[in-house]
Formats: sequence, C-alpha cells, structure tokens
Amino acid sequence: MAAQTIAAPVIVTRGRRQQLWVLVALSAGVLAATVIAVGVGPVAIAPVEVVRIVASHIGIDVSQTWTAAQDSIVWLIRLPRVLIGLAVGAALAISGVVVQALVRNPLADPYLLGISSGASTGAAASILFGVGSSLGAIALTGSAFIGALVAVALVLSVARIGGRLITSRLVFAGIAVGFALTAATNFLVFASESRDGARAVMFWMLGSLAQSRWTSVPLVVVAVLAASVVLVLWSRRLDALAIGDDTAHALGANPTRFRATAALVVSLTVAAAVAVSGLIGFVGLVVPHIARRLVGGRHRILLPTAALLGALLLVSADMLARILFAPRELPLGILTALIGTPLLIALVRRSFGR
Amino acid sequence: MIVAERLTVRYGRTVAVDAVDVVAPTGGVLGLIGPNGSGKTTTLKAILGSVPRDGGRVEIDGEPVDALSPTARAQRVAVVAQEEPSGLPLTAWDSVLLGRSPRLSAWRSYGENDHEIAAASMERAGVLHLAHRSVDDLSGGERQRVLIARALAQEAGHILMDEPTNHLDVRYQHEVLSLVAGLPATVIVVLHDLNLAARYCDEVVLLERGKVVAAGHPGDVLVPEVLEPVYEIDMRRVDVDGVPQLIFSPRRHAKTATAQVVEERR
Repeated sequence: MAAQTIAAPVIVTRGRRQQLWVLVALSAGVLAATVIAVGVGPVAIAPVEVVRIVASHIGIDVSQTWTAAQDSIVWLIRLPRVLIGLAVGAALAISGVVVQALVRNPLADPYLLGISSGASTGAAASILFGVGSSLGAIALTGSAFIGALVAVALVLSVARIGGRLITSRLVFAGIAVGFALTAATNFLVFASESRDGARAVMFWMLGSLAQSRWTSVPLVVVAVLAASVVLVLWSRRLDALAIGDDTAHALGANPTRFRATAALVVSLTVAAAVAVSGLIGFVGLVVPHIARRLVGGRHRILLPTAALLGALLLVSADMLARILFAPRELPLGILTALIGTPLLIALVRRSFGR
Repeated sequence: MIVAERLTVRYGRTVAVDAVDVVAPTGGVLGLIGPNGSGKTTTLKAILGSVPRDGGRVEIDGEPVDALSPTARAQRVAVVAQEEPSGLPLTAWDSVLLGRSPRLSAWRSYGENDHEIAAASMERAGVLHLAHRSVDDLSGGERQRVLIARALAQEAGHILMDEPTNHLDVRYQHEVLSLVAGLPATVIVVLHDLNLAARYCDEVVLLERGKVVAAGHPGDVLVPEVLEPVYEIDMRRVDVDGVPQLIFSPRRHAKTATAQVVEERR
C-alpha cells in the first residue's frame, strides 16, 4: 500500500521522547520520595543513613554508622509502610486508568465496581466479630480482601444477568452491590453495640497506612506488579475499548469477554490495595487525569506514568499525614480528598470548560 | 469478496434483518441503502459478527467468517464505525497505529514498518498533518478521515463502513467517498444519501424492514418505481454525466408521519 516510504511525523517522534523523559523524571521522584519518607517522622533520619540501613539489609556491605533503634525504625516500621504506600498508590492509579477505559468515562473511579464496599464489610466483620482471626496477623487484611472478592463476584454476576457485559450494566451492578454491602457493613456496626469497634471500623474506612507491616507487603506488591505486566500487555486492547466496543471488535478483540477479564484483574488489584490500606479516595480518579495530561491516552505509556504518579502522590500524602498533626496521624483518606478535590475541579474545568 | 447468505438477526421478537443476501464483489463498493430502521447497520454488524446472527452465513474470500479467530478476521476485515468522542482521546497518530494491532502480538510494540504504513495511510487519507492532534479535537470530517486511515493501516482488503459521510458537509462527503471508491479493497458501505450511492457504488442493496427489496447496479435499483414505495416520497431521476441523480418532492396529499400519529391519537 505504501508506494513510497513516509516516515512518522517529526512532531510525533518528538512527543514520544518527551513521554520517556516524563517517565524518567517520575521514577527519580518516586525514588527520592521513598528515601525522604522513610527518614521523616518523630525520629528524623538523614537520607544517606536511610540508604545505608536499607543497603545493609539487602546484603550490601556497608560499615555501620547508625544505632539499633534507627535500624528498627527504618527497617521494621517505616520501610514497609512506604513500600505499601507506593504499591497502593500505583494500584489505585492503574486501576483508575483501566476502569475509566472499561466504562469509557473519564470520571469513573476504581471504587465504582463495588470493591470498596465489599472490603469494608470484610474489615468490619473482622474488627467487630473477629472473623478470620485464624489468619493471625493478617486477619483484618485477609477478611477485607475476601470481602472485596465477594463484591467482585457479585458485581460481575449481576452485570451479566440477562445479557452481555456492557458499560452501563457494569456501572449499575457496581452501584447496586455497593449499596447492598454498605448496608451490610452498617448493620454489622449496629449489631455489634461496641463503641470502640465502631470507631475502629470508621478509622479503617478513612484509609491509613499506620497498620503496615512486612506481612502485608507481599500481597499488595505482588498484586500491583502482576496487574501492571498484564495490563501493559493489554494496552492496545484498552486503547481500542476506550474508543468503542465496535472498534475493539473490529481490531480483533471480544469486547464483552475482555471487559469482564480486565474488570477482574483490576478488582483483584484494588482488593489487595484496599485490604492493606482501607479506603483511600481520589487517587484512582485524579491521577489518571494528570497522567493523561502528561503523556496522552495511549495505555502503554499511560499505565506506567499513572503508576509512578500514584505511588509518588500516596507516599507524599502519607508523609504529610504523619507530620501535619504530629504526634497524631491524620487519616490518609481525608488528606487525599483534600488534595484531590481542588485538583479534580481544576481538571474538570480545563477538560470540559471549552 | 464478501458473501453473506440469508443473514437473520432478531432483537427479542423483532426480526431486524430477515434472510438478507449480500454479495460484495472483489475490489468493488457495495452500498447498503434503505430508510431509517430498515436494518442497514444491523446487516453490517451481522456480517462482521459484532451482533450475533440468528441465521445465515458469511464468507470472506471463500472462508467462513465463523472459522476465523478474531485476530485473523481483523487482519482481513477493517471497520469504519461511528465513533463518539469518549473524553479519553488518543492522538490521530496513535489512533491510526491501532490499525496495526491485529498484526502484532501483545509482547511486540510497533516497529518501523508499522510507522511507515501508518504514515502512508494518513497521507493517503489526507490527515498526516493532523497526526499530533487529539482525535476528540478534530472536526467531523477530519475524524472520519482518520478512521479511514486506520482502516487502511489495517491492510485488511475488506472494509465495512457505517455511514462514513454522516455529519460531513457536501465537499467532505464527496472527498471521503471518492477516497473510498479509489481504494484497492472490497467495501461495504451503509449510506443514507441515495445520490452518493448512485455515484460511488458499484452495487447497491435496498433494504426495507429488514428485507432485501432490490439489489444490483445502481442504475437499475435507483429508479423511482423501486424507491418511491419504499421511501414514500415522490422522486424524479435525471442522469448527470451518466450518473443517475434523484430529485425528491414531498407528496402533496400524503400526511407526514407526525400528522398521522396526531390523528391516530384522536
């Protein structure tokens, strides 16, 4: 078909280079934020010292210049928290990107699929009635995760009743299951008659990384890494689905089956994130928008950009949450909502104000 | 060549497409015409398989389409569908490059060859200068030509088009269709405008309530005796440069659809 060779327009290749630079800059930002966030707290530890302590734990030979207390603060308390923050931020951000493509709406949010409500029910059952206590240290995380999985199964099966899994059905099923499970959570709170329990459930729902331990790290880190690989491999299908079902079909995808599979992957990722951190709002909604402004809508570049940006945002927000009202910690969900709302309003004005 | 035999599609109890035969000759342009709700778009979707068929079969170059994997089908048939702005736009360049995706495994990213084909397709559709623009920001005519460029980049040999001249002004209608008519591909196109069908189609199939009323060369089908009972409007045919063109005049004594509804309610 190409009679003569026509190269890609210069403006396009230049744009591609800029996108790579965005990724490089964000990676550097994430790395810096990680080191700083581990150092910040009631006991401040210098970034160099943080790097040396971490290096010593992963088998690199460095002469010890730090105290045993500093060592346990960095390695046992703050590093797992920051790692979980990175993974949760990335998980929520890529899930937001994908959910927006699946339902073809830039204002969709990963919690739209009812996952958050399911996780809350699981968490409430664990906090109030000791459900899952046989899981030991990961009882809360485990039952929140199972609650989220139940929600996902319900949403996908409700969405499929009597027909194909189209966008509006998915949204409707998410809302319906979400309401039902929120009612279930509220009923558990009502039934327990425990004031402390109710307060603990509320705090869990506000979102926090304060309970982060090494035991929770594998769940969310593995989930986010696996999801990232799978979703990046599916990036062209996501591009096509974001355009429309007919286009996706014409380009060799089965939009119905793909939507269900991708929704499942995203749900598992969000379930893992919510299980370890509670409900942290706005990251999954706002980060995809900022990432799209930075690198455009192509998922192969959009997904890693959003992941890095989400990780950066969440770790920074958690750092603020720890220091703003020290020694008390501000629940992270409040802070992300406070930062996210004006950002979202600004973005909506710019996107739809024309 | 695309051969569809006795295509049938039901939506609940309604038969949207009823035993429709469509034969699109290799390298030709076949127009699907008919009034609103006659089943043109559903026929197109049934050929592609994006709505399930309740009967009939489709062959592409002699191979049953149902035997092809979705990717193999996408390598042979490209589609220019109606695409609404999503708020999640790609650039025109990325949108056209997507046409290469049926030929790439998930692990492969676009290569030099894909870039060259995308650029050549955009050049041919006259949209290379729009490569860096967001698809949502393009005018209707520009967007339509980007979609055609994507179909070209797909190098499929068969193209299905759903009203590609929708929302286009007269100049772009002719630009788009003369581009389509000049392609080295077998094309099935849904068209509302009978005069455009007369000028650019090698064959037309006239549908009414899901059934084929007439099929053949535009000169034979696009005659007032065939069309008037289907469209319920008076028309006159004049031949301009050997191309039949129709001039319509509303029936003086016929009631409009709205007037009929109002009367029935009384």
